[in-house]
Amino acid sequence: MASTAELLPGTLDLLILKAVSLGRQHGYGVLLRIGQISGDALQVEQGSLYPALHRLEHQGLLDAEWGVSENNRRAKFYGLTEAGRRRLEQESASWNRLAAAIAAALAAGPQEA
Amino acid sequence: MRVRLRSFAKALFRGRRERADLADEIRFHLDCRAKDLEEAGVPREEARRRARVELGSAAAYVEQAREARGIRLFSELAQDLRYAARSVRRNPGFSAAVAATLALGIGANVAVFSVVNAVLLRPVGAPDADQVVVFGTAREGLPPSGGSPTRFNAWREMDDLFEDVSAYRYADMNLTGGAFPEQVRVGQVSAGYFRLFGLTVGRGRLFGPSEDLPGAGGYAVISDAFWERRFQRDTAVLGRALELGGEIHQILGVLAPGADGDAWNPVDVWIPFQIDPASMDQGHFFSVAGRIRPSVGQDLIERRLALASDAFAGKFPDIGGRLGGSRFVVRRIQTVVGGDAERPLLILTGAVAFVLLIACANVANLLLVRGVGRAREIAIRAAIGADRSRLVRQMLTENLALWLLGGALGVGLGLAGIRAVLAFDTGGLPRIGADGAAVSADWRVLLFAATVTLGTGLMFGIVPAWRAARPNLNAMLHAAGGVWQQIAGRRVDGKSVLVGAEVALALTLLVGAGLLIRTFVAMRSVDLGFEPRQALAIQLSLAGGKYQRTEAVTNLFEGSLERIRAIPGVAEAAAGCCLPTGGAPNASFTIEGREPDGAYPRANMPTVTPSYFDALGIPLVRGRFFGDHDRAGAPAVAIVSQALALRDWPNGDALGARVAIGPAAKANYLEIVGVVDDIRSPADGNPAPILYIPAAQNPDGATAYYVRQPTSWIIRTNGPPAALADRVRKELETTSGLPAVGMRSMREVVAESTRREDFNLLLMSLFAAVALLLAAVGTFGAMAYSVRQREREIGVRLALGATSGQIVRECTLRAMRPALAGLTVGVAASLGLARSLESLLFGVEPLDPAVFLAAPLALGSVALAAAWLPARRASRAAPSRALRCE
Repeated sequence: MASTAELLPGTLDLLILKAVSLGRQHGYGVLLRIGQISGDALQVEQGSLYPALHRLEHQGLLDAEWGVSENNRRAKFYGLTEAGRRRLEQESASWNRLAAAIAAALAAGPQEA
Repeated sequence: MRVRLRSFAKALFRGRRERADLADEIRFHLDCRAKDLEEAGVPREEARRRARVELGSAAAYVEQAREARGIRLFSELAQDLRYAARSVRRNPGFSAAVAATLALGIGANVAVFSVVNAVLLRPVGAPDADQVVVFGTAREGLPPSGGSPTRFNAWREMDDLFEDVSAYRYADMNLTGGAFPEQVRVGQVSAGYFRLFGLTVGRGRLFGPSEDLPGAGGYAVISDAFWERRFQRDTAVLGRALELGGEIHQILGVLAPGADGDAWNPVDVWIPFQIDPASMDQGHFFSVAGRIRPSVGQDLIERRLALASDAFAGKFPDIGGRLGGSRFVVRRIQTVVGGDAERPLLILTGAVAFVLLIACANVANLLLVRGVGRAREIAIRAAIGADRSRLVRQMLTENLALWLLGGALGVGLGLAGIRAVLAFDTGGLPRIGADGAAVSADWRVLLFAATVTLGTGLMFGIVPAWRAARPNLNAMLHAAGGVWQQIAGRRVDGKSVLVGAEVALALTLLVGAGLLIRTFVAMRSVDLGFEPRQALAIQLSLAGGKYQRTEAVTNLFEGSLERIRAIPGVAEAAAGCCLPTGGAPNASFTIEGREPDGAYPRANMPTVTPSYFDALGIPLVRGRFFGDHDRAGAPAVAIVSQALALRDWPNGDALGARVAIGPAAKANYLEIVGVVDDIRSPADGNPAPILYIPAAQNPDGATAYYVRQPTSWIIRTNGPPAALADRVRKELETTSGLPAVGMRSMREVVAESTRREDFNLLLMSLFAAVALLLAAVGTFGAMAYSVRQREREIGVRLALGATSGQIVRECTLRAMRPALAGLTVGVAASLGLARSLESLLFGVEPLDPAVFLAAPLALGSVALAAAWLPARRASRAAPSRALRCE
């Protein structure tokens, strides 16, 4: 647990989109899925999860419908819309560029400065 | 954009459902988390606690939401209202301008609506008023006529469909004997009337069916107010005699205070109608109403009315029931209660709606401009996390607060204004009480005001709110960019649309008002066909009593006229049933040797003394006037007006033709001995077809019918008529033994007959002026603002060497574009409006060039001035100042 990292601002949305892109999920499922795909490295602040889900829903990136959960309870399931899929692609690409750039910058030695 | 709108709508109307869903969602999360923790070995209670802690504030929030769903919405609303109040206080000038504009618009609507409400909407005071119907006979192309004794008898036979079918009419009668004579308002009603209109007796009893038969004797029921006024609530009044029009009526009871039936004015005395069930009288001179019995359907009523019409036409074949295509109809009493006041009221309603739309366009414009001014405030709030929908909601609340302020002021202004207008002149409107006392703020007026206020507030407040709350962060925070955008000329904004719409609305209203005002003016200058100057008119009620036969009336006429002519200063005196301004009965007649190809021809039929034409100055066209020898026993004669002669004798052979009064009449022919010039109604300017009958030759039955209305004397004087009024009145009262009332100069009579038109003219002009003022202020404000926004650009261009002439020209042209578009649309809309007003116009073409030129010119000049003045000022400013001032 020592290796968990705080989420950078703005990345929660990206992670939610990614988690939902792997299959329709209810809110708690999204939380578990993010933990699972990040190898428990990324810890989502639970209190900010639902506001983020609702914000994405209002932006039309997620759609939501009520369904029945694995333990037979009524739960709200989120899925990715077409707009959400496009957004995920864009954000992933730009995140990767940024990450590569920062990694390159951090890898630079003193002689190059 | 669609998604945005949807989420916006959702945010705005976020309901209980969504809130409940959120609670369910959170509960599901907590349960799952607690279960997982339990499975990992955490004790149950601890697991639940920890799940809640992990979820943090969201959990607490939902707990709260579960206890008090929807409370947040209210607390936010309260917060928005506090903001709104603060913002109203912070910009007192702006708020006052907006509230005053809205108060004008809403006030005008409240004023007109409160009259519409009193005249048309206020329920008739009757139990189950929506089941009370008025009977009538409809002929093609004519408004349904009222009741005659024969028809009343036919209608009251349908008592399986209608209950309390009652005949009634209201008239002023002379009360003689007792302490002093006076004229009282009398309701002559059949016995069912009191039950029909829910009038109850407070003392004594009402008259019943047995007292409502011909020859049953005279009875009366008096109103509570009359009991108070005339008898000081003397309890011994029951059984006392009232001498009304010379006939004795025994007082049976006193009504409980309150209701008046459907009378326009309070009634003092009620007497039984006593219509003979076997009557053959075909004169229409009263109203008939009844209540539909429970569970009787409209189909059944119509079938039975059709049957009754046929039976009636079969029973009285010679009155041409079938020939005229007439049939019995019933109409809900509420739909006929406004009478002919309905149409002008609806036109005024339309006119004030325009005024309100213009006011709202002005305000929307102001709000848009202010929204731009507040862009930074909004941008900052959006940047620190204010929810978009929340911002829109808050701006909308602010706008609505302004509307509510304007609405509240408007209700006060409108009611005070209309009361002032009505106190000045009631315009002859029915049902509004003395000086408009019945025009008040009841729930319908308040509901109307609230609906109009909130409706226009939402309609015109939401776009500025939506625009102002647009979190266009970059553009706003780096605001200087706007100028370059403007120079590139890429601005089409809501303000241009509003300016255009406002100009279009104002033009349409101006054209409509212009056409109506020209109509009224044309009517005022119409040649009436008689000389109203230096003439007196006196009316005397001969109803009841000794003046039922022609001989008595002729003797009264001749005796009184002789005495009046003897007064120094009197040039001529005449008498007749009616004044030239109206009141003569309209009836059909038959022309000897002709079968009509449709309905029988109709005409107004006044009875007159021979001196009538000289006294009024009506010129003779052909033939002769009546003479003293045209009396009972002599050959029956008649005189027709030019309009009637042209209509029925287009070949000019009216003289010598013979006519008989009534459809399909084959006897009692009158020979036409003269044609006189037309009399035009001062109210609509049209010459009515008139058939004059010598009063001395009127059959007794007809005389009894004519004296149901006040009889008129007309006195032409050599000097000012008012000086002779008292002498004339005295002579008349001495000869007749009756009190004379309604002594007026003929000019007053003419003015009286155009009261309603004058009233409409006054209101129309008022609204047109308000509309023009609002449109001018609005256009001026919007244009001045759009030029001011470009001051920086202007400064740059001046600095770069543009001449101020170029700048002014170019600015003016650009600012005029929306106004010109508005004028074009307005002209098109006015053409449509003019067509639909056509039937109301007189003496002016619907496409009157003067109106269609003057209105666009006036508005165009206002717009031009509004564009040119600020442009000139901006072009004269030093470039450096303009550059510094962003």
